[in-house]
Amino acid sequence: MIAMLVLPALNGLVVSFDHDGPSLANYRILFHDSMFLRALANNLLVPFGSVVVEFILGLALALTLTARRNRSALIETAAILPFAIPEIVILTLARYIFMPRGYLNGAIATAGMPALPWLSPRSPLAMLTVIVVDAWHVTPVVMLMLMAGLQTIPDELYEAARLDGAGTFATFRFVTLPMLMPAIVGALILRGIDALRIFSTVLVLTGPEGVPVLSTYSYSLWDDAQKPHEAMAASMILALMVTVIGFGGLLLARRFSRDDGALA
Amino acid sequence: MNNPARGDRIGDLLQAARFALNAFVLIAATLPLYLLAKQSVTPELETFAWPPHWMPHHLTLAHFISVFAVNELRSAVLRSLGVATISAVIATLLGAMLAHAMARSSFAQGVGFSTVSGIRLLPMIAVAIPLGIILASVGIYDTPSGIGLAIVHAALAIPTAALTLYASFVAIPLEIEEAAWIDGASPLRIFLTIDLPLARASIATALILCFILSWDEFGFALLVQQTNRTLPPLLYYYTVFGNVGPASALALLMMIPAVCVVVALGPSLRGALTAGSSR
Amino acid sequence: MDDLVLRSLTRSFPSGGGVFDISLTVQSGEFLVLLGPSGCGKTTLLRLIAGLEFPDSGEIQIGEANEASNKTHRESIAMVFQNFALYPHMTLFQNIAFPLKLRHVAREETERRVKESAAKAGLTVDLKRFPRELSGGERQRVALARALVREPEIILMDEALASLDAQLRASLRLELKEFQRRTGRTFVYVTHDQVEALALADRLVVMRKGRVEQVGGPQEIFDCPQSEFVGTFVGNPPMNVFLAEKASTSGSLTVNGVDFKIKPPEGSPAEIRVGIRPNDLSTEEGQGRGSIEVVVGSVEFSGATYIVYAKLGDSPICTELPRRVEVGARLKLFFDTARVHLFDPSTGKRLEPA
Repeated sequence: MIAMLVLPALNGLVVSFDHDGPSLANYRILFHDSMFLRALANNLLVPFGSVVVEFILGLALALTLTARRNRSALIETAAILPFAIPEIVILTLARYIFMPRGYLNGAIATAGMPALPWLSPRSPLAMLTVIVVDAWHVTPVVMLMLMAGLQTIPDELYEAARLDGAGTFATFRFVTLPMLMPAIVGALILRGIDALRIFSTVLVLTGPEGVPVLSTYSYSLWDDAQKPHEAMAASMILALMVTVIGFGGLLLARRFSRDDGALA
Repeated sequence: MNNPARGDRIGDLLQAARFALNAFVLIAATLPLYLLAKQSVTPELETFAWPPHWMPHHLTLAHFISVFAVNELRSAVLRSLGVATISAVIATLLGAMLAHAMARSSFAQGVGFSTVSGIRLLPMIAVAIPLGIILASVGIYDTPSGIGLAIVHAALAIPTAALTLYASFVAIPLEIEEAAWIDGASPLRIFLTIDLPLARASIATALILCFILSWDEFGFALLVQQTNRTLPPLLYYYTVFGNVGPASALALLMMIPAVCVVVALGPSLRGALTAGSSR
Repeated sequence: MDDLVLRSLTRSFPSGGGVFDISLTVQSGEFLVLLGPSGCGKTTLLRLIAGLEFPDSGEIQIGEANEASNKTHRESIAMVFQNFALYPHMTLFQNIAFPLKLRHVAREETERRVKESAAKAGLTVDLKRFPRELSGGERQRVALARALVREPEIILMDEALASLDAQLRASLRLELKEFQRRTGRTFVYVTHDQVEALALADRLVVMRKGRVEQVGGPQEIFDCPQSEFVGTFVGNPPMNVFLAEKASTSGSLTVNGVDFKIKPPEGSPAEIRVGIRPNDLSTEEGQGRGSIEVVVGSVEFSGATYIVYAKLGDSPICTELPRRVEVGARLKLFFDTARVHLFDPSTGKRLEPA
């Protein structure tokens, strides 16, 4: 069953080197295509931005929700909800919100300001929109992972720190953060790997060529341009990128924390 | 952190930030629900209003009726249900076997964990395109039943199922299995009558998670079922090519299973969700 | 019913443990106890008999049949686990009936046999209950009933009383022995508790480091240990053992200069280990008895007797006396020379005095 996923990928690898016989031609064509280069750059920028936003929001939420005084089942359920909603539904709605005649521009117009092109192709604004929408859907995952990590920190540590005279910030800096490190590293790696594979957010919001990333670029090569060999070459570059960054992250994590269990 | 001292100014600031954050969370969670609900009961003409209405001026149930009346929509709902059910059952069964092996042999554990995390590294697009060609050669590419997609989703969901079940199987003492063996049960029998019933709570969780994984999955569904679509790709086409009302009604229907599960089971699903989180 | 025969069984583990070259015949209807310290291989041996482990070499045979296939082997053996291994998701009835269900036994017969073996195991609780609702002792009875229900020839038990509290253990011990007598089954019972072993066993197998040290009845093991290890492991408080020298004049054995009035066998080594049980030492004089003088170090009250820890020269010595003695007192202790055990210091084997 696992072979359902691995075999095709290997097959894809073979296809990507096939250009009327084995060669690197497919890859050479790619690196002369400006759209591919944009996709490559975006495929680094968008995941990076998305992970940063998710992480900051997720950490803030996790800290708020685990603090004993602020426990609220309502808020917690609400915080998880965006992840429970199917991705495609979130994206559908995001499209209605951010499209030129959408709710956001409607609100801006009502306030008497000029509408903004949130989704227009090639604009940095569109990239920002993609990042925000992507983070909207998956921040709860980061939050849940960090909450799991926070719950393993014993209460006595906080009490000891208070007795030692540590204020809010000092407690966070010297107790919470170091103890949470394994969970943080684990969340960043897992989310980083997932973020690199971004596909549907871009496809639904801007179309494959609005803010192209490697997945959508590959998709449009295959679906619209009918160039399967080059499509596979592009997706193999993405696979390579995910693997390199994933393993790099894991190695870094090993160096930072001895607790590999949190990353398994 | 837990209980900022009085007069701690950072604490006050944090308190204010907390309120802002909570408000933000509520909006982020409820806005999509509200807007979709609103659109799904708004007549098609009104959706073109500028600026967009925040409240519907007229109400209609036409979009929901059309979901069940239009052939394409109805069959997509049924196909999605079928695919998700079949894939959840297959993935849970195979995932249970994998998890059981992982719990009982350290070799299987090593192989299991590296495969499960290795699968995560594969980009959907790198798998889906060649997969389509392979499925076509076996004759289950883009069939009306969606069986090809169900198998793909099962394969995708096995790690989720295995991770969900792993802890439960570890918790079953080896002695109980040995006792059953001495009592005369075959290994398959032991697995079916001892292990599975003992892990039934986790089995239910795994079934639900795998079902939702398949129900929500967009990428493979888009590429493998190009004409006999399941819900997510269909919704995509509706969103991109107009039809606000039916798209919203469809979207609302789509989120019923997952939202129900999260609201009902809430925090108890936490661990399971993070274990199997994957887009 | 048939005997269980083990022939040169060997099963070794990478960690160095296991059992080595064990040959043993378990007679039909007997209560055999495997006794030894943890890690001596007794559980491995039991698991080999159960078929949960496979031997590297050697064979296990039940009955005189030249070919005891795996199937009939499994049929004739049942096992009670240390933590009873009841199926938590089944009622007591379902637990006991499980072996019958696997054999497609008809419902009425299942019902009859479950009730019968529950009664034999002394189980009086409602069989519709679940294992988690029971006390440790009742669980033990369920486990017994489940083992008995398919009428095996041999019931194996692995430390089956170890997880219970002391009082319950004592009463269940009695019950178990009674149960075995009533059912006439062969029992192979593993324990590291020598009190339990002496109380239950028709025959004892004392094991050490994967090998059999001695096989025999409880009395025989206690009175006539074939090695120093058996002597010190069985019996509480443990046997006193000293290194003795042959006196050049009389030829008898001396410990720290004290004459034990025992002559070692011909051709024995110059130094010999001498063992004497604490309860074989007394303050009463008698005919032909040896005597030693000790200094009392400390005294423990054990209820019926006083356990006295003393010094014989530099060597610690322990004795069990019916009355209290003062700490620091000098005490003259007498013993029957026939109750003194001699062991070869290099092999640990028993030597008979000349």
